[in-house]
Amino acid sequence: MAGGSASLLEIRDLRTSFFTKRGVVPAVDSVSLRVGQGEIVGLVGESGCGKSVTSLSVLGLVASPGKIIGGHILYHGEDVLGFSAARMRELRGNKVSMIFQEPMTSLNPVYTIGKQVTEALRSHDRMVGSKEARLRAVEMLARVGISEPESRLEAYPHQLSGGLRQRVMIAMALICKPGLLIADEPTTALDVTIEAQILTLMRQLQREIGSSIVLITHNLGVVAETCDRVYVMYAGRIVEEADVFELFDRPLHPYTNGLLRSIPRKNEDESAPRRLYSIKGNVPDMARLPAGCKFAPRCERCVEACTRAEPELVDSGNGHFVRCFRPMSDEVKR
Amino acid sequence: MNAPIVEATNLTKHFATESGPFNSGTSVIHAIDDVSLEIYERETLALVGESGCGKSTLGRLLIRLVAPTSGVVRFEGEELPPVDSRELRKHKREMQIIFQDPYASLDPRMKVLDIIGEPLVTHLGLRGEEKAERVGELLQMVGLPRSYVGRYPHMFSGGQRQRIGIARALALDPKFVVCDEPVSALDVSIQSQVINLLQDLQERKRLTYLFISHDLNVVRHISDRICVMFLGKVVEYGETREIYHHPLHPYTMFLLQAAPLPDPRARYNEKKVLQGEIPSPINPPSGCRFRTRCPYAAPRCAEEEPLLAASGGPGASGRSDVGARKVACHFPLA
Repeated sequence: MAGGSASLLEIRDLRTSFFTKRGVVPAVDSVSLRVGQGEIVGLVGESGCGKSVTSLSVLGLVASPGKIIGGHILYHGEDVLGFSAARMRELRGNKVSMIFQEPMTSLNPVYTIGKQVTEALRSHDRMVGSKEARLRAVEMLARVGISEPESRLEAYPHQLSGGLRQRVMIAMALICKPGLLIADEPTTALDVTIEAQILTLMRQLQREIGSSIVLITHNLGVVAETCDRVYVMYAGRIVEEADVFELFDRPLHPYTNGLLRSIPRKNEDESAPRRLYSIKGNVPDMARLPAGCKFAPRCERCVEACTRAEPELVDSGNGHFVRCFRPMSDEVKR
Repeated sequence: MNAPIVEATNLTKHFATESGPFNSGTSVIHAIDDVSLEIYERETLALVGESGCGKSTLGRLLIRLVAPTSGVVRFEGEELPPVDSRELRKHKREMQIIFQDPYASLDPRMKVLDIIGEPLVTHLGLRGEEKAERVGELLQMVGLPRSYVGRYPHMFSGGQRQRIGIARALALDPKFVVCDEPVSALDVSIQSQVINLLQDLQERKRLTYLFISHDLNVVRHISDRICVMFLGKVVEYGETREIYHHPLHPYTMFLLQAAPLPDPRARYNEKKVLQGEIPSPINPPSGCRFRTRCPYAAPRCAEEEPLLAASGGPGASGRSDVGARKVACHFPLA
């Protein structure tokens, strides 16, 4: 299992809070996460659970009023939180790069594709001349499946479709052959046939270049098809961690179980149930979190103890961790 | 099968693009081209397809929010009058729409009482106590407390806002509701709540739905029949179960295969990924519009446009009535 190999990225007890007028919002609360060499790790959760803030923290991109207030982020064993601005810049793009959900807003509309792709390369490697940069850009665009890459270099972002723009983003992210690629909802804005193309491409490039990937998504279908290991986040915390097969076969946290059960899917006997399972209540307000387990107000298995103290993330064997006093047992599921 | 409530015959909608500083001359966008379909009382017909295929435009044409370039829409056998005519008012009470984005579709300066109450005032002339009473009932119907009448949209979560949108659409007891991607913007745990609510209301209020969606897991769960669109054309049409079992149009097959399944073992299935991008609706390809992406395309596909016709292939129910399976392809899949 890839999870057993040396850690490329290790996040320990990361705490990132936002100091707003309404009070302190603990967006990321004591999150620990590990990414092995060549591993594809999924970070799953709903809006506002802190999955994007976790990744922005790794790149030192948390904007005010947000602030990292504790923890360690080790890349190849070195704590990047102690890095100078210059070293951080070298890390970003060169060693760790990121692709975002909205490919239209992440490309600069006034520069050509060629200018932006070569800039990504040349700003990290000053030895690369403009001719070589152009050649490598063409090669990279071809590699992400863009036809006629030479003529595309002259195009502006608005002349490309959403799928092509996301390919350009991936080309920019991978042109320096980073050790780690953070992909934040990379296919959410795309159509399903294009989503399938992009996910296939990411897996293929991951095998060829050997980069590790952190895939941030709310889509459990995307996780099931792509990831090796999965972390489930809820209200700023990791609530479950497991190998992807283990997680889908044997979810232990009532939240994970609820998410999996609420996806409409076909029944073996084709008599689809009329009603879907649903988790009651709403996604919590991060500025007014309950005491005890953060999922308790929405949980069917909640008992009094859950509202008093918060459970720890505990090992239940096979690298499967869960933060729950009353994890799912096999009898109660489905 | 019940009687048709909505019938569209040879419906076409072309939009003219305006000339501007960067493009001289106008061109025509073929948003909907010669579409005929029927929706039966109390059924859910799903409209699926990728962005730009015209599914939202078709939904709006069917309830006369948009005037067609040519073609006829009949509602309960009666031809709909022009968009700005007085006669359309009485039909408007019976045809409503639920929008995708619950953040953009509610006026932030209006209280819930006035958002839901607006159609009650304009169509039924309800005022004061009467109006408040009816709004309270509607709130309860969609699972929100009556006490929310005095609140503003910003005080609600996405799922709650969508419930308000549903209450507003149902305020006048319509018969036919266009649901335009009603759960796409919602979190996974909230999606199933809203889907259940829509199904409950359909049963209680004897509603007919046109359910527009790109999520094929949701469509499979909720719809009786499916209409697959590609670039302004209906390419396949039939009962949900038959279409999922035996897609006849190559595009339908690729669309179904592209949807990521919430099962990690599905990654080992050989998946056919559709190549290429969606062609432009300004200059659609000659003949079959899908041919530029279709791996089975033959010379005939460029010369002759395939017509939507009843199919005798597997999965055809053998009926000759209007609800039967239809496909627009010269070489349908076996």
